[in-house]
Amino acid sequence: MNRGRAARVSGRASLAAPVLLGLALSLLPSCQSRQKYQGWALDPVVTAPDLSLAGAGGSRLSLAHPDRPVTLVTFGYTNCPDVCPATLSGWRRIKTRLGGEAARVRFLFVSVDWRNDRPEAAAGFARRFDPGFEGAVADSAQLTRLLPAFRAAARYDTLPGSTQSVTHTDYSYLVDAAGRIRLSYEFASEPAKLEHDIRALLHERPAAAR
Amino acid sequence: MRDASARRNRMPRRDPATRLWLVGLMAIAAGLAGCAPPAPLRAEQAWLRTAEPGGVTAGYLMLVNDSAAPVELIGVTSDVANEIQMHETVREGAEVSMRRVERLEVAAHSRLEFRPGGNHLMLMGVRRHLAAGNNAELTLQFADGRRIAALAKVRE
Repeated sequence: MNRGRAARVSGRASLAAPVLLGLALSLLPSCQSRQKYQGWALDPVVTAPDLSLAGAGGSRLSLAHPDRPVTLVTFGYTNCPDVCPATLSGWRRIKTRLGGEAARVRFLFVSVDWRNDRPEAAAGFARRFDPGFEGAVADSAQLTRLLPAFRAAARYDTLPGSTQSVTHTDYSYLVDAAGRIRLSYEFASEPAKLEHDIRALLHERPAAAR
Repeated sequence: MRDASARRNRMPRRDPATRLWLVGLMAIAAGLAGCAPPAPLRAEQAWLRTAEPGGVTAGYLMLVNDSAAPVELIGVTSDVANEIQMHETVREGAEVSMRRVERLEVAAHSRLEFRPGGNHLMLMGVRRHLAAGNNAELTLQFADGRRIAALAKVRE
């Protein structure tokens, strides 16, 4: 009796299996759409403060640019020998991978070392890696508004012997044309990941970010 | 003429396969003659990032210690920079900072890597334009008085 009941249950289970598999497969596209970016999506999406950063030759730079749908941003300082050059060197590989679409992307290095970096130095540092890269300096007041929006940090530390060092977040961020900070990438992320996401942002519909 | 011809005739004649083997063995012997065994303490894959005169940049390498005793790196010099410091990049979450280190030990039969985002050489007061493809010589100084040279390639 029990054996017959078990067999009936087993038979129902075998019938249900393809149905469940079909249901699972039907859910797959929605999972994929949630993973359309390879960077960390900032949630909730925050709009970067509308600041005017000091660029070379007295120019003022904002984080978002009306003519460039995507801006790649990082924070650093020009006396940084290791991490910042490695990041900008990676950006150059991203730009190469983007080919013609790189013309629609801004690459912006923001110096957090407002005590030592002149705007010309920040711009020159960025240009060292690519003539199209831009550099600017954020002052202390601007940083207090800028960094929390990016969930980033930067500060001066005094080391033994009164040497001053700069501590900063070494992530890269993608900001869209509306100034929304969309995605972040840890140091030494694969250029292919950023290339993928930049292309996705360049081609997204305006409503996609909401 | 006759003498030369006589000498040729005195040389043992060998079939083509044997001659090929001989040529191959000679080539291997010649190759081996130019190969010295690698030094037990050596710097490999040294490179510097491009830099402008007066600027700062970083250098990286792999320090290999195949000897049976630990070694301690206490300094690096080069004629391409006024000063070279050894630094480690300290990471706390997403925040990074640099910390100068005076000495770095490499245990016996181990290696120490200098790489972007980790240990690195900080070159300050770069004396000449370091363009991609250039070479620069580094001298590594050890606590036991040894000095070894490393040829660093300049890269982007």
